[in-house]
Amino acid sequence: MRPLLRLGALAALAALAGCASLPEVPAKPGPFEPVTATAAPSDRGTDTENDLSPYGFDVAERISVRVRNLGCFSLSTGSGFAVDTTTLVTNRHVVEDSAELGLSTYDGRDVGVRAASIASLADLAVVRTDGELPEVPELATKDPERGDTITVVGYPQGGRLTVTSGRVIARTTDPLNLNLGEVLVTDAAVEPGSSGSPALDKRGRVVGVVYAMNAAGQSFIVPVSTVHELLEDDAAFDEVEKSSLDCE
Amino acid sequence: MTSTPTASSGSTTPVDDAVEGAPEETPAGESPSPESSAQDPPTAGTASAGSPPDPLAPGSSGSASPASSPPASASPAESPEEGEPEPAPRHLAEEAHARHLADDQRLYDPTRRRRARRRAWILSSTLAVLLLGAIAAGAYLWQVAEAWEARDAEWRGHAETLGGDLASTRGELADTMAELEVVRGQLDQAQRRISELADEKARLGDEHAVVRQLADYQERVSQVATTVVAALDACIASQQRLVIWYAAADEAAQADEDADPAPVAPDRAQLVTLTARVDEVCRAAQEAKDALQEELDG
Repeated sequence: MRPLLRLGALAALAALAGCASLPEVPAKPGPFEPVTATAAPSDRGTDTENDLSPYGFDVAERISVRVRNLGCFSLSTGSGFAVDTTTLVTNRHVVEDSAELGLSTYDGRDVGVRAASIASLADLAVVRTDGELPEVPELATKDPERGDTITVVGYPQGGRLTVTSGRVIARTTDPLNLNLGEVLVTDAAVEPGSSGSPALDKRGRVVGVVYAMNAAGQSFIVPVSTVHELLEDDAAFDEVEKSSLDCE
Repeated sequence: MTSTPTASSGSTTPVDDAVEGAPEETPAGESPSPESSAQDPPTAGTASAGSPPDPLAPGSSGSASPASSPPASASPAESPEEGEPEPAPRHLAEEAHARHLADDQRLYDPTRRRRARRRAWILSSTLAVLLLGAIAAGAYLWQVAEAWEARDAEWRGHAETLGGDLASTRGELADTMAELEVVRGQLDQAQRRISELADEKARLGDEHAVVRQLADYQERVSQVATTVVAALDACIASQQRLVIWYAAADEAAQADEDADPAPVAPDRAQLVTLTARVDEVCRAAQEAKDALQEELDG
């Protein structure tokens, strides 16, 4: 009987050991509750690839404003961009010697001008508007570095809204002596009429203002640090008197 | 359960001692029974008396394990002493016989039988419990398997439904993508058109501004020209009137000489004053004309 007892004990031990080595005892399935996945549509308004606004235009296109300078029997055009809903930044030479200033947006809407101010230390000007501007971009906190890609959005030759790209080539002193401090040189193609166009970085932030070009096809940009300095200084801009805009 | 000395204690235990001590070889705790002690004497006496070999001994020794033979021949009991017969076969037979007796004793020992029954009961109970457990586990697992099979069927059905929905949704997606492409094309076209219209409007605005400025200028020029013309008209009228007055003065002087009644005419002092006023009017007209000419010359 002893071998049988030992055999039984061994069998019991083997059974216990087998139970210990078995995976968890399977349980009965719970209630049948299939989960239906729901896919939420992506927000097209923040599409980074196309960066389309709900209006179908790029945000970069919506921030750019065409400026018309009607002088005494002369007409010139430039570009500008909003820094708030009723304030526009452009070049000083775009609004100088003007009898009448006119603004129009990307979709052809006219915006009235309330006042214009020009800076003496840089080729920059501020225009206050009567109506609201379509889009206000973000200003970058620091200047672009050499090699950074920029995008220029403006109205070359006073024509259609145009977007061009390029890279920052160098920093240099202003060859036209219009600006105090250094300016940026880029290879972005610009034309007369592009003055005042915003230069944007990859994230759509303003990193400078186009103000000149040379025969080599290079464009010159007032860096955003200068824009910040002047916008923060209330005395940096002198308002253009209305009488000086009258052409008698 | 018994063991030969060769197996249990090795060759150091003499076969004689094993035979003599056969009762003591029972397992520990198994005291020899009275029956065994009653049956032992003849065997022991036979073994100790050195009686002649039992004819059955070879047969019984033959039934013993072969392992017992070598120790019989190789054990120290074989140490040759002259004049003594070979005891090995006889001892083996006795050992086997004693072993049978011991087995019989164990078999018929009540204590051992109770223990065996208790062990058998424990074993059977254990096996019964294990069997019941196995049956219960099997039943449970069978139910679980049935439930999972049902669940599998539900999931399959659900998967087929989802597959159908997926196929339908994919078709709708393809249609929607196609429509989206069309809408994108229309959007691009609309964007281009909006930009073109904005450009056209801006250019028209430019032209309008220029034209308006030119119209303002021309209006101002026209106003100036009207003023110049009026001034020149006034100059001419004044000069004509001055000519008439001079003629009247000459006619009055001629009448005095002929003693005829003289017409009313300005005297010389009045003529000088009138001439100065006409010159002033004509000078202003000339200045306005020169200014207009200068404006027109640009």
